Amino acid sequence: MTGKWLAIEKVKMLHYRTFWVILALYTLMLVAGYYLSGSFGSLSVNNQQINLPELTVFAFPGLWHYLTYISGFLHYILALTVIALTANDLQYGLWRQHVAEGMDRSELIGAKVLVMMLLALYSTLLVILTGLAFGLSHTADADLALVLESAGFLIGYGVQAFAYMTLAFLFAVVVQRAGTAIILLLVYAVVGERLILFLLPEPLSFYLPMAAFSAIISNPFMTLFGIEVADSPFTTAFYISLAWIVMLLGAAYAFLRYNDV
Amino acid sequence: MAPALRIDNLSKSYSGIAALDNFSLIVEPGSVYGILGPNGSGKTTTLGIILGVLRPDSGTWQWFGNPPSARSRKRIGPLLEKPNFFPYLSAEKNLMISARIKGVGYHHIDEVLESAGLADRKHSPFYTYSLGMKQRLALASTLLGDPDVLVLDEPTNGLDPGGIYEVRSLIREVASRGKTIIMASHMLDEIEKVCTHVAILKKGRKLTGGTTREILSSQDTLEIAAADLDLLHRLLSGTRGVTDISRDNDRLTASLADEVDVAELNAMLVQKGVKPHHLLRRKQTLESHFMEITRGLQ
Repeated sequence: MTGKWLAIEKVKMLHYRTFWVILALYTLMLVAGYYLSGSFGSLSVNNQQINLPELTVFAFPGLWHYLTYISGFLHYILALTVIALTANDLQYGLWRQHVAEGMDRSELIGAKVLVMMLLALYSTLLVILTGLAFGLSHTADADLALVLESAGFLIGYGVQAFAYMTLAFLFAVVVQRAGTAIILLLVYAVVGERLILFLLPEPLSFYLPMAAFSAIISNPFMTLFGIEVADSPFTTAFYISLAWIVMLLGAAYAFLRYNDV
Repeated sequence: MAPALRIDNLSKSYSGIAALDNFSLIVEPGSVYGILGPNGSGKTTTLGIILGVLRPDSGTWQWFGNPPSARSRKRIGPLLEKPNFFPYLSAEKNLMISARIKGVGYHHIDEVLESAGLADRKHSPFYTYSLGMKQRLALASTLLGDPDVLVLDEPTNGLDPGGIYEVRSLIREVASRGKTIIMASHMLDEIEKVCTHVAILKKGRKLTGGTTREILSSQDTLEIAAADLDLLHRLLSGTRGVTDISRDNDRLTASLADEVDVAELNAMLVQKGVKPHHLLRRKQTLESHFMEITRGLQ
């Protein structure tokens, strides 16, 4: 089953130039963003200039936390890629054709879930390789225990990347147009959720999808202000995000199940 | 043996407007069933539903006696309203996707591209194809895996006369191998030339259905004049296959069944003492016949 989905999606993606351009830019931005922010970034706290490398940006074990946190800002690019791939299928009537030729609607979802997993995996591997390359050259006496000490952030990072993509996927399935879906996703991310936050009682705000996803990896900069943050991704936000992943994919399936393709 | 397709009381409306209203149909294996109707009569909606693409508001359908499923659709070669392919992928790559879904080996691809006359362009991206080539590629994809049933929505759409001829020959060839074909068309002569059975749809309702011979048997018009119109009228009234006789100035007009031989009719009249000095059998145009059928059945 997954072999068939993979074969189908491979043909589509392999020859889709936009996909590879986005992926190349993403890779470049992730590596360069890490290097530049760590090398030249600085913060002003209480009129005191603090250089970011003091956060152990390039050295184990602090590296994983910092790297997964700042790379998380690029999840929007992955989300955009998923929207482009999904809207492409819809725009050219491919899902319609797939169903007529004998695919079940659940398989349409399954094939794209596979693509999203592969993208999340790629992103995580990229972070691992980048982290190892910088970390091993900046940490004086790195042993395995030190490297793995906060490697749990990598799992949190992968789940976070996947979670953002599932939200984007739902938008793409429902509105069916790349441009509209991207704008809606951004509007939701920038104002939509804040508006709901404003209307909801305080404790519930934590349960909204974007809030939960971004909370998986705590903000390491907070430590500069003497605020203590979670030093592991496996907090409540992680499990709420897992629940959201299931619900978002379920919603996408329900939408397809009861609508024309 | 279960019918290839059985449709029971399908209905679907788009924002309150009925696209399909209580439509039922039985298609026996091996028949070429035409769904005939003007644009917007519900043909595409019907085919969309039985191909699992559109969701009906109510009603059921069965393929080969089984409830609809993705598995049963794998035995069908579908041609949707328009060719659906990735513009940046070649014909071959596009068909690889279809072959994978159907569980058909890639070696079938060359075969069907050959039969659609696209073998020499199989590496060209789809967007470089002409409208006719796109339609031919869509038809080629329906043949992948030699399915038991073809479901074709306006198969000759966008083709030039040569292409139309080829497609009709292809349909006849596939039908001659015992396959079932269900096709929608708004062209009466296409249905007449290709189909064994026909259902006529208008505004989402089935007006009539049956064998093409029954439904589309056309009544020609007879124009006849002789010196003694009264006697002529009396003689024609007693002749089989001559109906609806009316007087039109110096001549009579009547409807003529297919089996009436005008030469014999003439000989009979002469024998009875009437010598027609004007005798004309006019073929009814298919279009006017279609209008007549749909008008009469509403």
